[in-house]
Amino acid sequence: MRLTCTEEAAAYQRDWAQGLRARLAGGEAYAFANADTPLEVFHALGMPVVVNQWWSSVIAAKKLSALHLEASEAAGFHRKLAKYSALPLFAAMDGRPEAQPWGGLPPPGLLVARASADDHPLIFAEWARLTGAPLRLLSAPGHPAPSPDWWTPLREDWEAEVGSDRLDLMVRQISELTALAEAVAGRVTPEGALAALMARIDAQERLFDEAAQIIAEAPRCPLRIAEMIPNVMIPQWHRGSDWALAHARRFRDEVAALVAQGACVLPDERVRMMWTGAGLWFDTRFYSAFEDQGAVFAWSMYLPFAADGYLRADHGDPMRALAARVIDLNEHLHQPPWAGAWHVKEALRARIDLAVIIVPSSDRPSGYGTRFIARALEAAGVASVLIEADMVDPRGWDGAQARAVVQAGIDRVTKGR
Amino acid sequence: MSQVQLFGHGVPMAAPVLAGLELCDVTRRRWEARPGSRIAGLLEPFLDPFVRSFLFGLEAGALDGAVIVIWRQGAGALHAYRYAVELRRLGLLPEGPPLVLWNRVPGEDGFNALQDRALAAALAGLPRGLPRDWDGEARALSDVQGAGRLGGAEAHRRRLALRAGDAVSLSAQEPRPGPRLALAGAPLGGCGLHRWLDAQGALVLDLQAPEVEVGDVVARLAAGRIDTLVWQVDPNDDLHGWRAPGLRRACDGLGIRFVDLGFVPTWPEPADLPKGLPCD
Repeated sequence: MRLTCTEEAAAYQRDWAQGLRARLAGGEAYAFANADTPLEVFHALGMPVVVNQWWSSVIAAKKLSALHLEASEAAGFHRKLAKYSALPLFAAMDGRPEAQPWGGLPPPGLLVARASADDHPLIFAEWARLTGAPLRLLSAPGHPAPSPDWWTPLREDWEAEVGSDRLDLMVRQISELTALAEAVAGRVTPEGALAALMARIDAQERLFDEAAQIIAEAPRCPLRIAEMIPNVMIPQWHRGSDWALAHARRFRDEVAALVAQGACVLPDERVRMMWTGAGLWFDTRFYSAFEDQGAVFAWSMYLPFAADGYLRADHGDPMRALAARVIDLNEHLHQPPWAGAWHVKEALRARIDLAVIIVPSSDRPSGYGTRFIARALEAAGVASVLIEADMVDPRGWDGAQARAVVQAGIDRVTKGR
Repeated sequence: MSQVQLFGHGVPMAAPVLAGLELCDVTRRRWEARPGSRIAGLLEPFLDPFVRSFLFGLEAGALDGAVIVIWRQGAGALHAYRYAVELRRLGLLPEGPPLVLWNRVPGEDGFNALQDRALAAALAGLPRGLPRDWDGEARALSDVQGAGRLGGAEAHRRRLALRAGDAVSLSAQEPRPGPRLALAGAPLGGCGLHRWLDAQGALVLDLQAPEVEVGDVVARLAAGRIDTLVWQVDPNDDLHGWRAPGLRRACDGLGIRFVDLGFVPTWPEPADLPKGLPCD
């Protein structure tokens, strides 16, 4: 069964992309931003923003990544450099419209990244050199004393959890980013726009929280992660918009109705799996490769993280709440002790039998910490396997080997019963 | 061992908050997994080589000073801190000196003052003597090397000794014959590549040295009258390689030959290197 809202989300994104091209052709500036930056700055300003990792996943899904990665190596960028965060740069270096999704993008009006990975400043420096666009790098000072169960205090008591010194810094840098965006866009953010946006985002993420809970509690997994992901991520890229909020509600309601009807992916569901890490964007069919054995991927990070990663009470200061949201945003998913504890919490909630952890060796900030996650899951009674793969580079992908690894995990789970 | 162990490429030993303390920069020290290591299985094969070495040093109890300070801005350093703290929390690393994360952000004076104050509190009570002129001594070494009066391997060895807190000689050697070479790319722990270069010319500019900031590379290449720049990165590099195409362009603009050795281990052995510098 396919949700009505899945097609609606895809159609919205298609229309948005076409509309964006028209706006950009008209001379409107857009921001090109990493996913873990405060996109809210641009949404509140009404400035278009294209997310680096989303664009990367689109390039991969269009089977264009190998072309651009090979060209990048010929240009002197060695093969071990990150691909997920760099593929759009390499595609832009190519520049040919026929080698880009939807004909490609014009040069951005500004660039923004956070130094959450050592290489992000260098990748974006190349972007700036290529396009001449102004670049704003947000700092990523490390949390000196991270507690494993970060998701609970961060919803309300984030000041104490994050630390006032780091929050002050991030607020200052977001303010500077706002000023730059306003200068590039040639207008100012309307009074109260950020507060209203943050309130709508809060409502949106609560709906996703409810949807995640409904899916986790359903007797059998009601829909595939390949369907969960666009329903959460497309609204996340437009978070706080009227459409995104309405879509989150439609999704929650359709999922609830699905579960009420007793619908499920597999009537004979026997093994519940979690896909741990970012998506395998060039081969999303892999997610359903084990269904003939009653094994279903019932969880991916995108839906539950919409709540735990984004819900931050604003306490009357929306920019500070925004700072609390972004300051360790990506780190929570990958770094110990945060990532292990969160995946255990989620695995137990979703009654997961087997975690399949993607390990991208050439995207080290995403590959790091994966063994700590596996250890934490195993200690909690959740079997886990690690598969080596890059999110967007199909060249080194050994599907047969990956299937064998997952199969061994499934066998371990079923034999252990 | 010194009172304060420092980890993180580029850690500013001359910072006022560290002045007068007995310091040792352990970033490029090499420790291997000991038999029966309890942590080796949790370290990815592609983990930064210096982070890996540091963690094995902690497991071996080799860092036994009063405090270990981890410089956040150093490449890989945040993961060194995260892994070390977590491995201790899991009981897989022995207890040892407290680990202190030292955050700093360029241009953010107010934030940096708070971080320095926190670090100073962690270092309170440690005896302080006369401040050492770390930067001045490093510059003096570079000057001797730049004049072709100090081999690359010996200069590298002296630099690491300096950062370990040892007394360092500034004595010069016979002028080095051959083309003037520069070395750049990923940080190196060992001297193997330097020795290999010493046999082929005068390594007068070492841009991977611990104290070098990367911002002024073009000016330094021009001032150093470099004939050939030798580039390398470690086999799991995902960082330094971003600079290679730009540096190659800069070399082209300056008329400097750019030689890319590709992936070279952090502690290189002769077998890791070609017979000689590749010809054009």
